[in-house]
Amino acid sequence: MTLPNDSILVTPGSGATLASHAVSSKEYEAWLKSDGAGSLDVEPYGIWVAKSGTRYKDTATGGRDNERMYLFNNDASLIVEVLSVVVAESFGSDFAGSDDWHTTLYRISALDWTGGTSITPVKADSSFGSLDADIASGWYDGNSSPPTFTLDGGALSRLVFRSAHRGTLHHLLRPLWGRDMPPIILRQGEGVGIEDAGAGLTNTSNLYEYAIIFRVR
Amino acid sequence: MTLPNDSILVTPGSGATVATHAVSSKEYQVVVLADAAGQLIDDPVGVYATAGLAMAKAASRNYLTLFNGDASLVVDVLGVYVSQEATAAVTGLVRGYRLFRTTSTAPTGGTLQTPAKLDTTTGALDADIAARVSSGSGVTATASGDALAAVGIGEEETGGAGGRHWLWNWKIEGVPIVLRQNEGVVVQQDATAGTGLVSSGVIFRVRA
Repeated sequence: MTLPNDSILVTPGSGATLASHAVSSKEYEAWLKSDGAGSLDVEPYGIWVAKSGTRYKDTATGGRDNERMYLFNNDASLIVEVLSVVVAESFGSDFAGSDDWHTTLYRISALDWTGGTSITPVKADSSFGSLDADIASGWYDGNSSPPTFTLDGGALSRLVFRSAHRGTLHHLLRPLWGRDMPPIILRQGEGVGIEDAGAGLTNTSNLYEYAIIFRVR
Repeated sequence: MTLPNDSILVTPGSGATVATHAVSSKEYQVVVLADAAGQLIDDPVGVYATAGLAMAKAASRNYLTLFNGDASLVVDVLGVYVSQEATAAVTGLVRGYRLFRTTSTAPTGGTLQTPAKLDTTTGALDADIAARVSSGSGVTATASGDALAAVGIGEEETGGAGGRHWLWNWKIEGVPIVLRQNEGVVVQQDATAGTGLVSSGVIFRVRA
């Protein structure tokens, strides 16, 4: 490791006090990093987590994967940034089959959520206000008719999970979208939706849970 | 890597207002990081994503291509991934997937994709930039040179396959793959047919 090889002398005057850190008699200015929208990085203020409950994987119907969870922004001025989407799989019973199942993240342009259950997102820091009522999240709990939403374009991302209980790596929380890529921006009338299905469509041993971590600005 | 090639003289007392954030009576200057191309890091504007889903496997099949035919625009490939899913019992196979640069000949065939925008304020994707995915017979493209990356995914039903396997991720590798005019990338399977289905996606940025 190498220490900086020079320094500059700053003459204090009036005004604010800049944060710094002294190492070997030199002052290092302490910075905060922000993103292009001016939001501070690694800042829990304004961060929400919307998480689904646990549900057995259902057989897909109507020639389309099952709609599982959504986050939708219908506010005219607020912007939602989807920072990450994570998935966990577990088992409710033995299953020795070989039909894996996949989960896919899409943009959605409209919501026709006739079934399922709404989600009350949880704050990452309790010191900020309530979530705007125009920002909504929900998931399919299997207790009503399957909900639908309108996909806006092709897949943003896909993950595959092994169906057989003999396999490994089932119970990990896996990112369907993560901080290694830029956030997905949701303006008014925009959302993200999660679908899943199994290739064999017969295995209902798998349980899934989803979570969407997002920021409102 | 490139060193900064200029500097500015700061004159206190005049000019623009610098962003700060006060914590415990001290002001922290707030900075926005850019990469060597001058692009704000993690900015979703100008970033697109697309994927081919549940594509049938075949030996040496090209599943996905991204090609830049534009004379002035530059494409930064941020991430390329594959995921594989079993559809029937299989024992003891591992499939390899490779990421290559293509030759200067634009890929053909397959299905031409309409990539999704991470921020809808982003303009339409330039028509000279094309993403294609396999539609039964693969994309016609020619790999050039050695592979940029390779990954092996087990097909064995009792193994731990699935997931999403990055062939390239700019946060892991540290840099994107840059595509200038008549340059592209292709995701290609190894020379064994294999079983089941494969999905492959790409996340990329377009800049002037």
